[in-house]
Amino acid sequence: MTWQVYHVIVRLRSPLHIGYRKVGNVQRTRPYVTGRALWGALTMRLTRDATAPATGSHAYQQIGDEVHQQLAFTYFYPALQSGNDYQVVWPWDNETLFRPRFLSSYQSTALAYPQHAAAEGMLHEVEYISPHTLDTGQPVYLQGYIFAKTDCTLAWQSALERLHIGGERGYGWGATELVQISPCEDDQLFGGVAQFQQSNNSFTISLPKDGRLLAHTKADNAAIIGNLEPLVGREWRSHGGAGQHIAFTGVCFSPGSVVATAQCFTVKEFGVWEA
Amino acid sequence: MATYQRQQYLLMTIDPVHIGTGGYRLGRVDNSIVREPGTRVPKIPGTSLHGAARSYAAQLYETPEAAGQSQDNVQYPDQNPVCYTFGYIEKTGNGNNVKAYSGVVNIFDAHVLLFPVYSMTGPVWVTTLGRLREAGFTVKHNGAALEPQTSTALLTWDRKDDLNLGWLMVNVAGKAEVTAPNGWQNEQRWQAIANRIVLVNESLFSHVVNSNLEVRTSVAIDPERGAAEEGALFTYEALPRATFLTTEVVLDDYREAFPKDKCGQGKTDKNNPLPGDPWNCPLDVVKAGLRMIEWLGVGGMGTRGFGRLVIVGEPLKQKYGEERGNEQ
Repeated sequence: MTWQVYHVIVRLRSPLHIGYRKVGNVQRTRPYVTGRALWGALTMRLTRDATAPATGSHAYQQIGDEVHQQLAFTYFYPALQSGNDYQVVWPWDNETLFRPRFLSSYQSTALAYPQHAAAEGMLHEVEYISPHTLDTGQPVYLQGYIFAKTDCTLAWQSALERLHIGGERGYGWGATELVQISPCEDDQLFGGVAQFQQSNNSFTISLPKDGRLLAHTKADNAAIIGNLEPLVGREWRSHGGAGQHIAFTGVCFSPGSVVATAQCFTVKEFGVWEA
Repeated sequence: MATYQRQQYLLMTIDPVHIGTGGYRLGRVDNSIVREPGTRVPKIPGTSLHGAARSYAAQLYETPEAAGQSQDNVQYPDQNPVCYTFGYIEKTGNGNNVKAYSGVVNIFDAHVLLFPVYSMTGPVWVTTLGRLREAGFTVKHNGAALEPQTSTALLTWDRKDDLNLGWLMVNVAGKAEVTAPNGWQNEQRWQAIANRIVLVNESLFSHVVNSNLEVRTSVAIDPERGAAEEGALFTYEALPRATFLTTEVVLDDYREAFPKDKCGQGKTDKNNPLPGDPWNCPLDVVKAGLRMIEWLGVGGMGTRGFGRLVIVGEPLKQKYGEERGNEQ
């Protein structure tokens, strides 16, 4: 069984919040879309497209498993249009330039409408990736790759046309507009930053010496320089409510960490790499 | 397939609207308003519309307890159209079992479409080609759509001389024809301004808007002296009256269990007649809530006469895979 690799570009149509951590009353965002967030958004859309009403946890779990089996993906990174092409702006290349260009935050409070006054203790601030660069107002895109089995039965391309990713979606955040899905003709990812090779059931991605990790990576014995973080997410399970299940993937190197020698990694569930 | 629909609203401010950023002093004003990052054009955040629509819908349905952060006092939240539409938290077993239900609508930021500016020919409404197209309007100039140059403008009426937009003078590059989507064309508010539209380059739009916002100065009065209190002078800005905005509402009704039995008949929770049209789906709840903004306002300074917005015409509705059309 073979896989087809697709280069995917979506345009950000509203602020995007990918949950990271909380500092005081500020909810920080990650500067990229994690595989878990993409998996969750795709699973939600595909389940709702396939079943009505889509209220059973079992249906979500089943489609979520199918996404794991039939699709794999890289993390998606902010990109800007460059001529007829798109150029990723890596968050780690120049963090002091990246943050003021792409990240902002929105401070708000709940109002008590009968009094037309702020409700007490409700002041909060949510950080987001802006749909336009903050300096020049250019549209911001997200670029990444989706690997689909050639006999994939999931209507993921149609789902990408109505994808809402991340947090604060009730307030219109996380809206995306599909710009292009194009099959990859070579084995290059992100313009040659990494190469992929496929085997029957999985992918390996190779990085050159001093290359950057493009996803969270479990690497017990690899020579990598970078930040370690426990990769934790929240999931909806049949027992409990929204986000009450803590999904722990493991302690990983963060995207942007540097490999000391050329290295190959296997792409696992949620786009997480493993040495 | 779960119901997936988009609605597009055309809104017009009938008061100045102030959605504050939290009282920072920024440039010339103490209390600045929320702006779109990147373009710096003011907007009304989806959070503000969402909160106001929920609160007003809850009042209309005579269950104001369905509006707040906690829905503990809503007797049957699963049967409450406001809770169903906007989401709720249900606690059972003395609060030991907590279940959160996400809402089925997303309400997006409202973006400025047509901004009123003083000119030597009276008030004109400034916009851009991109904004009009995004909102479903068609623009023709000599048979083809055209983006004006930075220093020029297209008008929807005959004029050859230069035109001022506030303090800024632009060259007139010709006449454009702007057509509203079906359903909005015959609206009085649209017709009143259709021949007073000025199209400028997107890069100029932000400057025109930010230079012509309503900026007011107020001061607290010391009641004993009847004079201004020391240090109590402050300035604040607002979107001016007669600004047109567009916003979208997405319905993702994955539950398909809207409590029709109680609501389709047009009764409130207390069995009184429901003001306005009966609610048959979550989009009706959103519309009823948004319509109340015409009476009660959104954002700050509400008690000083700020905040009212009116819905112009009926929202455009689009189901996935279908063409966009008017709701009626």
